[in-house]
Amino acid sequence: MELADEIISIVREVLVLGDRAANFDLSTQLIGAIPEFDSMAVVGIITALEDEYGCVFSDDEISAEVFETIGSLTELVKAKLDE
Amino acid sequence: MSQNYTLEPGYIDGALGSLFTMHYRPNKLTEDTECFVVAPSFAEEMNRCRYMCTMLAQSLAENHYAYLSIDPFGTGDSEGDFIDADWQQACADIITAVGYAKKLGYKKISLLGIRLGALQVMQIVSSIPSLTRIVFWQPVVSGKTTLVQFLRIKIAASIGRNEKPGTIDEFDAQVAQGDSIEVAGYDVSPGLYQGIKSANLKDHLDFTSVPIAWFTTLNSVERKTPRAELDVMDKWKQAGAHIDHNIVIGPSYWQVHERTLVPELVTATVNYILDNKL
Repeated sequence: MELADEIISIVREVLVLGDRAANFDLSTQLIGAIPEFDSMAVVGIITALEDEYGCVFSDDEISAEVFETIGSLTELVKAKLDE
Repeated sequence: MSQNYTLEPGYIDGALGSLFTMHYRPNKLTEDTECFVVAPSFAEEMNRCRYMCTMLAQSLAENHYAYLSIDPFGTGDSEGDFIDADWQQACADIITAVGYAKKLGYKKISLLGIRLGALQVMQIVSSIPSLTRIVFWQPVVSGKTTLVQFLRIKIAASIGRNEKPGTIDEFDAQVAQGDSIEVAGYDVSPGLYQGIKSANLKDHLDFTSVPIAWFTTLNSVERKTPRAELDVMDKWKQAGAHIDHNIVIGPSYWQVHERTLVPELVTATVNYILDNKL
């Protein structure tokens, strides 16, 4: 859960969600469910993740599936870190 | 509410057409009044920074500083469509704004570079004699990295639509052919695209006598100043530059949804300027 907590904290910071992210967990829906989650926000989160974990995302990794939930985003980062 | 300044919107002549300017003129003008000319970011970032700029302008003007913003050709309320916007032209337009500030009577002129505007500031700094100081807000170090982030908006925007998102390489090829590229409603010309792509703060070492105030906004105290920013500062300092690095904690006002503000950055910037009179 530790990585997921870090991801939640990054999403909260980038989207400036504050207390609204207090109950976020792996199943929390992101794109389409959070109004702030626009295309610039997607890019902001990718950039923040790249900065934080020193990884680089490829174009085809920016997909609806990845940004569906906190869980799917966490899976992507986990896969990057295991590479 | 009493106000220490007058707001003077207007148009000035640029090389390609009329350019919109917004001048915050302090009521108390002296030989010493410092005027901040703004090199803005561009496209959606420019919009998202606009209100922060207004807050800074008001706060500076309340403290008897002047503020002059210009919309480069093809952007904002200036003539031309966004597809006409060009990197070199934007640099020339900021020089035009500096000339206008001189014509308005200001003896002390400083530049505020926001995001990509910082790269433009560095490109023009050697052609502006006796600049008082440079202020950076979240300067972009690598134009290329920022261009990739910008193009990702196009990819991200295709999420949930039945569109082929495309790849950065495909976009590159399209522009190399001389075509413009549409990202988030902005038609980016090859001239703007290539200008952003080839700009890098590390390439500039020709400014060493102009003091720099560098403001980095971090999302939380746990975050660190990006390595790329620290590297540039180190390199410039070794070359003799005077840089004051200031960190402010707040949201990424240039990036997130509109009306996300960091009043702390405005306060920190104005207090810095008041504490460091030049």
